[in-house]
Amino acid sequence: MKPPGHSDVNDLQANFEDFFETTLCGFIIADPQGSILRANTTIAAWTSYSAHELKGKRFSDLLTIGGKIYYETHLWPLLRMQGFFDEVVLELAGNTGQKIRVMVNAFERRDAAGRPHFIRYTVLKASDRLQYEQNLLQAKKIAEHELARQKEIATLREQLIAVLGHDLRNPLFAITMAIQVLETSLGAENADLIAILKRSTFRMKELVTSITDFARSRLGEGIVLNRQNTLLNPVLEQVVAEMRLVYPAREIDTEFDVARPVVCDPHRIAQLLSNLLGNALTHGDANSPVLVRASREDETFQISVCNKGVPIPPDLQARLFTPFVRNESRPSQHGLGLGLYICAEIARAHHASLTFTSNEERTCFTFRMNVDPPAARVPPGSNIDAGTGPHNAG
Amino acid sequence: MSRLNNMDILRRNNVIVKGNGSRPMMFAHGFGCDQNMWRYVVPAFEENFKVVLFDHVGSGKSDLSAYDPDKYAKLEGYAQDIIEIADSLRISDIIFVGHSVSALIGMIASQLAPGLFTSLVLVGPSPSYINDGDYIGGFTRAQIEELLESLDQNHLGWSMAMAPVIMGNPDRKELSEELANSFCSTDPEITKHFARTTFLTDKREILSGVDVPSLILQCSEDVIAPQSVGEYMHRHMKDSTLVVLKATGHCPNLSAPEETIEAIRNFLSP
Repeated sequence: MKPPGHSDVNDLQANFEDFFETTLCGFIIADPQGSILRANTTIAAWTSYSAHELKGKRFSDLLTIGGKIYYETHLWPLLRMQGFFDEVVLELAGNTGQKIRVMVNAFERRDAAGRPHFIRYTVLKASDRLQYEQNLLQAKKIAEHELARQKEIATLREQLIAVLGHDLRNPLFAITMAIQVLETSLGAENADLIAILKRSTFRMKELVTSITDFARSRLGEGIVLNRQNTLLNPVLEQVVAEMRLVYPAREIDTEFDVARPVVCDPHRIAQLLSNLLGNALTHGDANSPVLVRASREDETFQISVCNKGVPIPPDLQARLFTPFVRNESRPSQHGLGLGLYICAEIARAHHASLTFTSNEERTCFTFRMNVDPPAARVPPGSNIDAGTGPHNAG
Repeated sequence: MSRLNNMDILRRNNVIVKGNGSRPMMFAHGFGCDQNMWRYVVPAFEENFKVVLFDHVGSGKSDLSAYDPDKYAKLEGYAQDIIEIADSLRISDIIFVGHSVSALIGMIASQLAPGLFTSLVLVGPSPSYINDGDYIGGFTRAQIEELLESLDQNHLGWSMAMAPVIMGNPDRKELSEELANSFCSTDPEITKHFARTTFLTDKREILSGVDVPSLILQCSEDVIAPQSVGEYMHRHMKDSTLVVLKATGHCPNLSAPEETIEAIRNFLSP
């Protein structure tokens, strides 16, 4: 063991010298004007300048042209103003034309009066890191490009659906008219066939309306309301009457108490009831009646549709109002799975709620909206607004 | 575009007026950073002058939304702003101090608005950065192309992708007054555009028409404006004085404020 004393100090000094010279970082010490006083062997190796040649150069003399100007116009001012700069990416330009990408920190040592005393630069090789960074940026660019392309495709697809849905209405209308003519001209022996035709065209109309509404909501137009102060009794009766025509074998009971008008979009309310009632008739117990109730209280308007039958499975309940969700355990049932999604959108546009309960006893869907306070009421039939603006379903 | 009122203009350029004197002295920063570039020089003139500081649109705390690439594709766009600032403050007979590209902008303004300036102090000026025959601007065209390309690729982090640096040093005490690097950070697109305007401009033809007394402050060993440029300007400008500072680099206002102040004082009170 060495005795403590002078030699330790020398060792320490030698250690510091070695640390400065032999390390993976470039170290540079410069005078307050930025003139290099000393640079370590790492800097000399990277730039192919000798330690002697480096002495007296400005730090910017070691940089490529872009870095040189960046340094003189941005970094040097920054160093003088805030006393340091850090994590700056620059490119060293070597004596023999080689370029090395580096990350530079600089720190200005100041005396008690705040005058710069000397400047220290720490230079770290950063080629791999920057390559990695560039790859990430490249990957991000590709991903962004791909995302933009996919969005464009999705929009086109939804536009196609909207246009298709709209254009299918006319041929459907023609079929409906033709069925009416056939019904009167054909005898009773074909009544079953006529009933099938009627039910099928009705379903098709529903599907077309659903996908058109869905496409619109995805395109950001949302469910647009045409609100009117409406007496809903005849509107609801009409929906039930249509359904009775389509499902003549089924019993539909009604309890309507809507003598006073409600501010709403009557066509949308009809669509909502039609969807809910259609679901109840399709999924409910075929031998039990479906009960439709509607009431207009002082502050609320409410429609509920209840049926007996197998309860909605719990896993399905959680995503019942999501587009394209269907009861896959019962593949025989038709539909896109858009009906309840659109009902929910209609409720949302009316600032109303759509809730359900489902158990062994019965399954009930309830639409419930607050009715405007009396002061806001307008005479029946007058148009309140053209719509509520876009309701984005996404 | 609707006409801006005086307050809009002062806000647009983040104009600061200070000092106890009545004679106006306007300081214009160059490419890179903002009016903070004058922080070590301005106090020496506050006693006897009305000091006007501002940020060019696109720099510092200027209104970045006012940045119009067409307007600022030419130095005349910046010169127009300087004239508008003087109008808004109702000042004329100004001592104009411009650093780097702003020296040139001041010379342009002095010709667009005669009487606006009584004298020009040009710190590290250059009428053109690209070598052309006998004229040594300091850079070859290829070098300037390389510079602009490095800006396009942003591979040097020009104009500073600074947010992470700012966020990364919350406890650093040097930052207590201002956020790190904020003096010199701005929108990368604007920096790119400003660099293009600055380094591709050739205004040598206006030198002979500058008719106000001018002080050319030339640094020793300035990479951006070499001594040959200062000498060239001095030769072509009638009423000019050339002072070569001991200071090195491109920013004597920061590197050697005392020497810079002294040279300006000598020029103003011979």
